[in-house]
Amino acid sequence: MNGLAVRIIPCLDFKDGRVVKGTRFLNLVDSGDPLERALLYERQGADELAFLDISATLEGRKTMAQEVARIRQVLSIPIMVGGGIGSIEDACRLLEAGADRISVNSAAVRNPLIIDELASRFGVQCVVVAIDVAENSTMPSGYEVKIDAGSRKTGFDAVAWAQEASGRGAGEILLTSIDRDGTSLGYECRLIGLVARAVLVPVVASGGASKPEHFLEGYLSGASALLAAGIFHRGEISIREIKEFLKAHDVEVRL
Amino acid sequence: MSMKERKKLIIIKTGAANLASVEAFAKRLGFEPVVSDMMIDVLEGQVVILPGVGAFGPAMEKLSQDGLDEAICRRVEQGLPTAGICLGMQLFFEASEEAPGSKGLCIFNGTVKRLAGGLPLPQLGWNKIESESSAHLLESGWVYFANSYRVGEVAYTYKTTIKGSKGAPFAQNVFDQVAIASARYGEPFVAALEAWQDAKPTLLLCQFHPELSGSFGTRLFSHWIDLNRIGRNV
Repeated sequence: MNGLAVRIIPCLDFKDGRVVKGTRFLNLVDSGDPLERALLYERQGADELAFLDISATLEGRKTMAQEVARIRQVLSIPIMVGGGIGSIEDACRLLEAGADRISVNSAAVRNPLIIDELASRFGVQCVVVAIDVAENSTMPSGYEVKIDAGSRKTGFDAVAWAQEASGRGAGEILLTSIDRDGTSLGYECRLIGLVARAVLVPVVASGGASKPEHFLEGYLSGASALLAAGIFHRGEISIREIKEFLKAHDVEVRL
Repeated sequence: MSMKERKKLIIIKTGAANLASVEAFAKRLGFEPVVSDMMIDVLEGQVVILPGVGAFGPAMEKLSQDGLDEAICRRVEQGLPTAGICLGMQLFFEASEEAPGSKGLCIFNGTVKRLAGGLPLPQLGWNKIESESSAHLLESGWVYFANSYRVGEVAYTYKTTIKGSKGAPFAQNVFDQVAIASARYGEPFVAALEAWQDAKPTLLLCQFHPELSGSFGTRLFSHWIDLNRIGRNV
């Protein structure tokens, strides 16, 4: 490996000012104030915070930038923000609010040039392409890209799209398995391995982690960072406990 | 927070990029951040940070347009607390592979080069730095990097000569001591540098992002400010 610590990234799904969590992208449950959550996770040893806006309305989107600005004041680890970013202006607004990295999803599938433009404006370290994936045996890799919060098929193969996105300037791929999201079944390791081997940029594994063993599996499959939400929100296990487990298995972590 | 006015910390504006993280960092350190490209601020600001956004060429061009290259050199010569972060560290050297033909501040010798070793660039994430035993400020620990270029070594002897960006040396015998912390990403590189004058670490350069390095970064800069004997409200 490259000597960098594997990153543990708690994700706050954010809807109209509250942290929520669902199962397979549905059935959202309220999990509290984002600022308190963010601080708790930093204290536990989070290496970065992901902030995903799933607000349906324009009003909700505006709240998001305010929340990022509020959290930036107190948080001293990197903040990645995604969800509903459709334009360079959206990205600018969130970066000005204090995001360090921007993740684009559906907008990049609809108009891949937005990746090139974000990379040239803000640098590749700033650009994350989020890919939501579902199993589909008719695809070459066996996985299809879906957009609009998993509601719409694209006909794109997940591995091919990850390659195109990184070629265009994505500094990182955030790979979420819709099939595993909120299920506690563990990361979709085959998918992580396929994508991590196909691109040069780091891959963040997302969807399904509920036990320390899942984080180790995700890392061993090739992920450079491991994202989870529900397991942390519900307080089932702390980030520190996961890191200690990884360290005990000879994985480099920041402790 | 006290009712007393907070001391100002100048963040040099080198381009259009956002500085929200560095501003928030300054506030957490107990300062009122002021983003400025005014020479007077850079010359007289009690603490000045040259931040790490953009590319070497355009950043030097902007500094020189505003006369800030000379202002920074003068600060350093006078022993006023000055810090560079990421690209802001690289600008203190002579040149960079990122911008052939573009001249840096030339406070230290050497050319900034692209990270070699074949690992994916940029280096993005938490890496471990090790401080030299002669370092009194820098500690070993995990810090957050986002860079493709690096300083390979710092060729210094005590009492480094400052040449100044316009060519001829204008200050001599400036630093009593220089110490570094190093890290490895495909190859070893300089992760940070502390330079001392009159028993104070007046210059602090970090290739990593202290503002995103959790309590390590906050502790480092708090210590740096205290060793420079600057009162602040915290």
